[in-house]
Amino acid sequence: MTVLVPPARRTPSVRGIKATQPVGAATWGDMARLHNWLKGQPRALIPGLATGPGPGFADTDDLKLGLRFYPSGYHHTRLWTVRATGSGNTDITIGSLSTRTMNPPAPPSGSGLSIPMLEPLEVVEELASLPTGMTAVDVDFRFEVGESDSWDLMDLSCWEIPHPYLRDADGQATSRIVSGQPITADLVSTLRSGAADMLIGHRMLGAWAVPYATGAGSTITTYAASTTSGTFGDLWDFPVPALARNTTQAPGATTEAVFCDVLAWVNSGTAEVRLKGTGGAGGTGSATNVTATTPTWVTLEPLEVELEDLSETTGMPSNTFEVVDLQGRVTTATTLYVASAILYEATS
Amino acid sequence: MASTSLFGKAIEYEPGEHAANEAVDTLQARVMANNLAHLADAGSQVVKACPPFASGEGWSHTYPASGTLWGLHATFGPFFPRLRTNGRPNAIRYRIHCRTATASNSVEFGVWLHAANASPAGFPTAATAFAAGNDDSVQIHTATSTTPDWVVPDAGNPLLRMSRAQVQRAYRTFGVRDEIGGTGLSIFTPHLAISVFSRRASGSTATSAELTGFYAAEVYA
Repeated sequence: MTVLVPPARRTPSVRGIKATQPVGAATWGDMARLHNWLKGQPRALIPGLATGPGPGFADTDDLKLGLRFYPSGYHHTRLWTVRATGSGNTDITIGSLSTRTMNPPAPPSGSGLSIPMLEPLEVVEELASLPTGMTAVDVDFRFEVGESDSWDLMDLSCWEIPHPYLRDADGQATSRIVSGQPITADLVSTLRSGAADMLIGHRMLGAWAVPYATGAGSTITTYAASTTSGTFGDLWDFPVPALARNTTQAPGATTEAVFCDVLAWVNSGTAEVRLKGTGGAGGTGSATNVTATTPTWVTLEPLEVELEDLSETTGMPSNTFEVVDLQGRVTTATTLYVASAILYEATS
Repeated sequence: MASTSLFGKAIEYEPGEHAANEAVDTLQARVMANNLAHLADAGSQVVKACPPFASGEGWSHTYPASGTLWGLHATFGPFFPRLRTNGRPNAIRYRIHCRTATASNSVEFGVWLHAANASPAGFPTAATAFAAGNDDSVQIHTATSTTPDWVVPDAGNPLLRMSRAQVQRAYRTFGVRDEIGGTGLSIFTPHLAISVFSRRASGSTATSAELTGFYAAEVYA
């Protein structure tokens, strides 16, 4: 038994909800359908990361990117898309899915109507079970470039495909919302908890990854961002924009904590990683220790960033982009390495 | 566009305050309707957000000494847009990080929101067809610096938008199941992508332009 997700968004009328008057079944029904629509909506799990042409992967390179994301727990089908340029063949293996061979087009050249098409590789992942709650999923993305071939990653995305049905436990059934009958709390229990669940529509704010291991699993430091300095410095070439949904229920709040998980390690001893915002809230997150000597996911201390303001056309409260940088320094270690990072809203 | 929720933000309430057989009071019903509308307004997703690259590590396009035709740098996506009640997708808030290779040659960067299966050849290459405001699915920005940076838009912070007719051409069929291991179904949903082009705006030497980063996110606008 499953609950239908309506194809279009519903807008329940609050004008029909008046003190001392019963709330009509039509209004409850619209609320239930909007709730189900919300949970069936697509979500970006990996919002378009790229390694770009810079690294110049070629000629039997066999490498892994470390990926992490937080699935919604409602969707059981994901669409991975890989857009790349290069020459020859590159084998792509996403997690435990079967290997696909990609034959990417050459980088675009020419002008006007001679521009070539850049077809992405699409891989559908059907889950064997739904994750419980919003828990981290770690996936290796392996690419094996053919001999004398080349490959540049332009865009790697993973989306939860919009779903036409929800499980009974996730969706609000409308069959018992009947005109003239009382709407008791247990009748709309899923709807009542859903309307208080600010994780619906959770936003992954950014993603970055460079190879951290060979295809066989040996750690490599060739591509990782690194520092040997005892002073905090930027680990990325440039910061990335970040704007969080306004789901805070605190009166007057203009910022919200965002989180970052990094795949990091040190040669020995201890290093520190933190987030730093510029523009907008412009805060600096507290430092988090990195002590692992092999690539390990670490959740950083959160950073307060500006909240989206939907009364502004662009959603930006100050009409300027707040950008977030990843900073690191060594304390007792000699070198800090970071190979992946994801930026996201709170998951609980 | 103003929020569709009553209060323009989420309101805290206790879902468990009613016993199972109690009628849900109107206050809680009103707050629930508000919160659902706000979650729908605010639930737009980030499409592309990756730290930009250093100079020389991005996607370049080289121009001959003459001519002003557009050239493609990169295509990002595809992605599933969230649709509004009128059938149009949410707008796209975006930013480009780029540079021109030669200071005397300013470059125009064009950003195009299109169906995922559209051909880049469909990009409106004529300058008149690609004037800002002519079609909100394309926006242009001028880059004059040889140092890569986020480009300050020509006017305000424009959004990419699609008309209902445009998004209707972006629908695709995907196979899903009604539940895990269940019956196979087809869904018909729009699938979009964003491409970034550039062309010479001034100057007359053979040169190139480089796209070093791109950011895009949906916004309820």
